[in-house]
Amino acid sequence: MKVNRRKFLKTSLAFGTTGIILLELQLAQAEWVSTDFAPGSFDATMKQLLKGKTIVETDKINLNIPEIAENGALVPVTVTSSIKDIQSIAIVVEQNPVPLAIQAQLMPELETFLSARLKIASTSFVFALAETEKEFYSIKKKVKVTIGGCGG
Amino acid sequence: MSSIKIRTKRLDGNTQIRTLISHPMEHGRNKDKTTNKLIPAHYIQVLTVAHNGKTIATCNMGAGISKDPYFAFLLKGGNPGDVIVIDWIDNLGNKDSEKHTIT
Repeated sequence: MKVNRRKFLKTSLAFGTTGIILLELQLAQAEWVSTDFAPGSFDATMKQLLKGKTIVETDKINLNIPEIAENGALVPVTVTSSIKDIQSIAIVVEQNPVPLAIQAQLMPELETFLSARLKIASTSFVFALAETEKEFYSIKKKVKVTIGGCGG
Repeated sequence: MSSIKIRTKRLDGNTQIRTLISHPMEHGRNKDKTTNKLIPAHYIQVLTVAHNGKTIATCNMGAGISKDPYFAFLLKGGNPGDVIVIDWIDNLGNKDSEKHTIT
């Protein structure tokens, strides 16, 4: 990542306009993709998310989520990790109609920390995925929901 | 009145950025109880956080995020006077932006 930015700075100095085009390309990569958030099965979502990278289960990610959620419409979740060079964090809820809840691309200026509130339709595993350049790390936790999140 | 609220707090040399956005986050499968029609989907798709003009986080999300979404991020360092700008855009093309200065 650092080498890339160095390279990018050099290019933008040499060719101002080329630099701008590169920047636009970088932004385009982070664009919202409708297929990622289309209703579908958990396996299909994971396949799309992983883009061929391998997935490793780890305990270095800390997924802080209540074991029993009284109200599935509002479940606080916090993901932190001690793994270095994480580019993005994704949160996937296995039993939701749209399994992928959020995918956050974090620049090196940010600590690996993300907190949000999720809707969880029914009792389900919640996965936190951390992406590095080579692979994905994951951890899962089961959340029991007494009132579903689909009622809004 | 902006839909975004931003709060920052110094934590052990880092800065915690918390944001609360008022947004319905409808996923399109709920029914309106009085008319019995589906409520159309209306949710935030992209949220970006910028620190002094540089984007530091881009969050793509679906409707699996709760109504009136809350997010927190942890910025390494951060000095008083730094400007945090948070933007969102939803599936109907609405957008909003809010500026906050770290104190």
